[in-house]
Amino acid sequence: MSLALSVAAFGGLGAVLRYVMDNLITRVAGSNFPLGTWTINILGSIAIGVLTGWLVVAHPNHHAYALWGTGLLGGFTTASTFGVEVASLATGGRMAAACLSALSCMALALGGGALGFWVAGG
Amino acid sequence: MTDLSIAASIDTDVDLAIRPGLRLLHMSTVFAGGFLGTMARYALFDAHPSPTSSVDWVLLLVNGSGAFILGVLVATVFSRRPDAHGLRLFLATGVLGGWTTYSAIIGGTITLAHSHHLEAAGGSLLLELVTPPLGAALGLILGARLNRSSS
Repeated sequence: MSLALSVAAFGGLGAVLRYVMDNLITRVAGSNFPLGTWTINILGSIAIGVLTGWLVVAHPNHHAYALWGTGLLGGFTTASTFGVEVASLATGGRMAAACLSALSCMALALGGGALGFWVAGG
Repeated sequence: MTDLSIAASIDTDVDLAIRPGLRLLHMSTVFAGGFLGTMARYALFDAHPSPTSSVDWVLLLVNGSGAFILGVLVATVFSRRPDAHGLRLFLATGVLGGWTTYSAIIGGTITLAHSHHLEAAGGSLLLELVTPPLGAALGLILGARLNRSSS
């Protein structure tokens, strides 16, 4: 039970971190192309690669993985905002930008995650 | 259909060059929402652990539902009440942001590939890539209809 509450608290912290980082990125890059969530999802995926290699394969620790992976990184990254941003680009007549955003995020997230996994000893 | 500026500002507060006290209130609102969303997701994941050799349908349901609900909200409540910052921060940035996750997609794909289930890894990645934008598009379209029929 206390693990569930700790995971939830880490998720809340992850969401706050996303909120702060998204604001900073949008302030610098503008809102013409939704770069904030895109960057956040890639960074979170690189980190989950490291955690998976370290806490699932090399030194299995279910408790720590639940806190930092399911909690912090799960709360930090988001599929809902990202989905709406991609769909809004598409329905706003910017289909190429929508596909570029979704595909490049997935490719960089997977590539970065795999690299992190390998570096962490997975 | 949907004003891009609405979607681009779901998780942001760029217009609020805000007082420290207000900023703390906004962060607390996001934290509370993220806490609840993550707790619900963790309860579901704990009861239904990721399969070790096939597509994670629970994760697909979590992300698809979150994107769909956010699409409906963006096209209805948030577009009618663009001044409702607190509600948007709590529901969109907090609850739905905590409920859905992108890192779990990558973690799951890596785990499947590592255990040599390459077809499942590729298929799951494709499904996970397509589902959130599709769910969001359905939500935006349904929301726009609800908006029209109620006005």
